[in-house]
Amino acid sequence: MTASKEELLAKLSECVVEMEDEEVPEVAAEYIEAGYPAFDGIMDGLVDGMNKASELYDEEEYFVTDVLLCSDAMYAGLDVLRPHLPEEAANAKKPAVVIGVVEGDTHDIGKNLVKIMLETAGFEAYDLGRDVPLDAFVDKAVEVDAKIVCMSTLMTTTMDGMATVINKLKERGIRDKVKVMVGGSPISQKYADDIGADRYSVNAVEAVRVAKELVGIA
Amino acid sequence: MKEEIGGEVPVGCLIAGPFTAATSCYPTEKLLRATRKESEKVHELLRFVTEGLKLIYKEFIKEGMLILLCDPLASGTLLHRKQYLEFALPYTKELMQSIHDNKGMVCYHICGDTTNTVADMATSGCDMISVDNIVDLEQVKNTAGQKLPILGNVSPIDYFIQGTTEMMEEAVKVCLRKAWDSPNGYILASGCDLSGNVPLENIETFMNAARKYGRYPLDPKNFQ
Repeated sequence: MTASKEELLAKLSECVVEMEDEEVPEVAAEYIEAGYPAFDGIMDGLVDGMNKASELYDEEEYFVTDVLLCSDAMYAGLDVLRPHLPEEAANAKKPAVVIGVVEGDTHDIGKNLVKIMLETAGFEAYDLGRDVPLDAFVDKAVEVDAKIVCMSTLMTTTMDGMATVINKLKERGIRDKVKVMVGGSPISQKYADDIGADRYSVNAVEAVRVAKELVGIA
Repeated sequence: MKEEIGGEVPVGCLIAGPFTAATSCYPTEKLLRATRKESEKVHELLRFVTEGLKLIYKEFIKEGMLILLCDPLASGTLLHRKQYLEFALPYTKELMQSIHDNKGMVCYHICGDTTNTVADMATSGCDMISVDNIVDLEQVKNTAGQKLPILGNVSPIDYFIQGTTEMMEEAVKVCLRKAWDSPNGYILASGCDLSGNVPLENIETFMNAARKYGRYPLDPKNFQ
């Protein structure tokens, strides 16, 4: 007897929260075979689970390891469901975010968490990685018509690279077309204000809230 | 350095603790996942780095250096307390023992939020504990401070780099207020490493404030 859509959605969500990355593809395959829409499977199943994981992280029940493992389960499910999205949904324009760790710094766990959560929230994340040459932030923002440039660093010696990127955005004439978000241990709203960034966020969960506010989506 | 200034001040060396050392061999995100999925392999790697660290510490102790065992990747900012207890603490205890067997002295520091593990850190066998600015020094006094000398925790960013001299003076007083009567002793310190961006005046203010407000015998009226 085929499981109902609600049952399978709940199962997908639960697999993400419980970090069952091996079970998720099976459930996702069952969901597709039953003929249910991939979009709902993603939004109300996988993304629902990832959102629950984020809340648990915010509440300090889940830690970094848990969020990484939950995201593995989510991406395993996405691999199965995405190819079944109808063309319009697959090609739908999502707000583009350019994200990376500034030049000279290779600490990228925080940035990776932010990227996962932004993607979960429906942003198209262009991840430049770590130790990113400052020009690359600007070049990519222009190339993909980014709505947001998101920079991270753990070190005080590389912080000022963020100010340089903001100046480069001005020089390129696109500072008023993109919002700039900054984060990382040495960063604060005060620092963000000092360098002319739009917003600072303290962790990945808040980064999503801030990003949504900056582009004006609920 | 020991030759040049070792007659005036203690000279020490910051060396990685076991979990951080493990991440220099294997990428951090993979290591974190492995703590859940391949824990025996993680223990193998930790065993390997621990044996290596013992040899490294020994060489520095022979030169008369104080060891600053620094394990930022074991921070509560990344790890759940359960992970710290399973993957960091046992190897740290061994290293503390090894340092003492070689007649060394060691300060244990973990950057970031160690609120949930500072009491556990105090069981490691270290000689003193240092905490970052995000941890409440009073809480440290009431837990780890009941067993060991404690160090901390003026914020490197808010006060050393971005602070005015007035803010720095007040920050020193706040630390003294919280920890001056820590039962096994208190050492005023920055919360974490200082970088080249720190204005020298702020370091001078810090040192002068310590001498002014922290002069023995300590009188809390001086730093209200």
